[in-house]
Amino acid sequence: MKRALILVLVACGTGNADASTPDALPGAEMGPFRTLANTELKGTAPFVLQDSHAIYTDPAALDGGILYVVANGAIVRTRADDGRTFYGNGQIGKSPQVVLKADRPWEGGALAGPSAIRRGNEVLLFYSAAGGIGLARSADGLAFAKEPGPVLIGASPSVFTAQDGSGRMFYNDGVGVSEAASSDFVTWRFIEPVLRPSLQSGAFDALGASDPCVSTRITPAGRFHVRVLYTGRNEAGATAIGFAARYGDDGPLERNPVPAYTTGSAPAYAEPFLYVAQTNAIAGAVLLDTALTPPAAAPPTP
Amino acid sequence: LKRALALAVFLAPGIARANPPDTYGFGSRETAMGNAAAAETGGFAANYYNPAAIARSHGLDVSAGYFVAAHSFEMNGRDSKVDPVRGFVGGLVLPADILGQHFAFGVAMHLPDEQLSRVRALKQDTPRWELYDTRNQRLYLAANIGYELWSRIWIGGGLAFMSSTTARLDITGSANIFAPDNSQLRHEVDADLTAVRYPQAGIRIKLSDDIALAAVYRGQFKLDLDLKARLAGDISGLTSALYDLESTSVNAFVPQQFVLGGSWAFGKRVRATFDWTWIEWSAYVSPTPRLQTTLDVPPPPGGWPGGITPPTAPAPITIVPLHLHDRVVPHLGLEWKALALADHAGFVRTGYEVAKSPFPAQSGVTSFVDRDRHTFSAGLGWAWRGVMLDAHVQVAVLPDATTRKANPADFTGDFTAGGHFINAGLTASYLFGERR
Repeated sequence: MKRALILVLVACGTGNADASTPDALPGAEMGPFRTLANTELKGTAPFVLQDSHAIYTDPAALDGGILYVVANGAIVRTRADDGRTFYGNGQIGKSPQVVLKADRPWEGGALAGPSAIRRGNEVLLFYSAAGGIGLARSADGLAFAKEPGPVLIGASPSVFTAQDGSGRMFYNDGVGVSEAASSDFVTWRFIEPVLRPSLQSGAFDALGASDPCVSTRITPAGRFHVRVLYTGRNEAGATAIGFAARYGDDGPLERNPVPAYTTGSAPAYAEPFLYVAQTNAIAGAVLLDTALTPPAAAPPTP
Repeated sequence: LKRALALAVFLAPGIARANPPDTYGFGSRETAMGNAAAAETGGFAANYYNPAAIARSHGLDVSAGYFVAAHSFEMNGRDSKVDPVRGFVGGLVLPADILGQHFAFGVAMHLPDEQLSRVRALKQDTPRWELYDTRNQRLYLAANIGYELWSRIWIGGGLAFMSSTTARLDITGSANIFAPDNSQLRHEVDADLTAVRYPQAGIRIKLSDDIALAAVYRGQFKLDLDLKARLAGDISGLTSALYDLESTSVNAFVPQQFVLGGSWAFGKRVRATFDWTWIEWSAYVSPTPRLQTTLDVPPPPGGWPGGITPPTAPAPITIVPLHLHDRVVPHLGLEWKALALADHAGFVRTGYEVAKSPFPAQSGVTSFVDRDRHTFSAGLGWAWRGVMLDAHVQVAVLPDATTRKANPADFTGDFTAGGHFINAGLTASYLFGERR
């Protein structure tokens, strides 16, 4: 029962069923990723969310093809049944619905870095603002009620449920990524730093490791696997998506020296899709060996 | 003269061990007996098991057969889609007495009916059934000479040919990065298959009418795959580009082997055999391609246009050594002459072999998947005058085991793998004389 609960409550959501891996090779499902091709999208590859009304950044995936994205300082919600054909992508006059705005003094006028998970009958939406990390709750994923103040000092949260049922959060601490824990997902306490820039010359994450996106699984060996995609920044300022992970509830993350995806930032993952912020829009990618069926004929309603 | 000739034959260059017989056996009788055949083989199959034993034939010995080996291997519960191996097996032994000395010349082959040879160069972190997928998809051809040194001692050696691949690909022309359809590229391909020879030799000693011993040596060989590619041309009138790639890899490597075998007859109807095969897996060469690349794309006089990022050369790959373990593979066989009439004889055979995987735990970057293998076999034989019909079924079980990766950020991650294969076949032979 605990294992089933853990799989449901992964922070970045679980996947869409129209993809297959023809080679049937084992994998941690965390890359390497390839850019979506023109024939795999309704819009212009690799963008899955792009229009002239907003600059879309900071995607966060929930199960069911739902994506929360930052647009014009607010958080909007869009959906794609196939994981790629999102409502609002290039559709004239149609934009994703705003679900959360900055309307508290401590938020400083703009929201960023959302992270959504389901817990019980609620959708918990964590977000970044000027004064720290906030939390909003919703029964339907559309109408949210905010907690009165920040729940933690930091930015770009990503939340998951540990094996013992407690909440865990990876977040930007200004240097790299730290971890916090909570028994009720509202009151959080700092644990320790878990990921830092590698400081290795030439490495894709030499000078930056931020924007964690966590998902968990049980490996075929029965180990609790905490998997994190993050934004790496090299000495030239270029960004790429990295993969770091650990076994078990506690401890620092170990990284893969090879980037999982070589462009973009602020990763969001919903198997098998990776979403990243790229040139003011949201781009999509899939695991290298994934074969996709043609994209859906039309986006779903929001 | 007799001993000098024998020595020359014994040391003759050549070979005879290729991959399909290593895995599936060669000929229905020997396969049914668990490949425990170095001291008991004869006819065309001796070209593989012990070239000395071809000299046991004192008449033209012709065989032909067919086998199918179907794999069912899985990783994480998903079919690994390892292709079946099937095809014709056959050969002949032609004896000759020269100056009172008994010789025999033998040829044998496995001719796949789908792929004569297959080459694949995978990244070292790509999971693959290293010993079953690509290596067994190839033609096997052997030719041997056997010699009856004394009435109770036979020696032999042989020649075999496999092929390495050398290929070159040149692409020249003009690439338009603003309008790719307007690119004009020409390509030339030049590929060679180069013959490679390998040594094999054996001896069989008949201690009594009931007991025989054998020793066989098989040299190592590797099939190289060398590819060169050159891309040169103009990019949209902005600049020129030159990309040289040279890839060198080992497409198949079979380590040297040493076999000791024995055969005991218990009474008139039962014979037991064993082979003890030492395999120097520690010499195994990683099949990961070794790449040398040169990329020269000078920037245009005015610099690169906005939005265009020049390509960079691929990062060099550090090939992880495999550190395989040498292994001893025991084979056991049993043959019961269940039917003994004036003109007819019927045989029931069974065998077993266990091959511990030579691969260390793949907890690092590489994922060369293999498992310990238990192979059970059985078969029937029927002999009528010079005609022999043999059938075999072989079931190899590779029990599931889980590979645990040391780095939790490994792209492959933990995986469980295992499976089995089933091999069935028939062999028909005709002997215009007798085997001793």
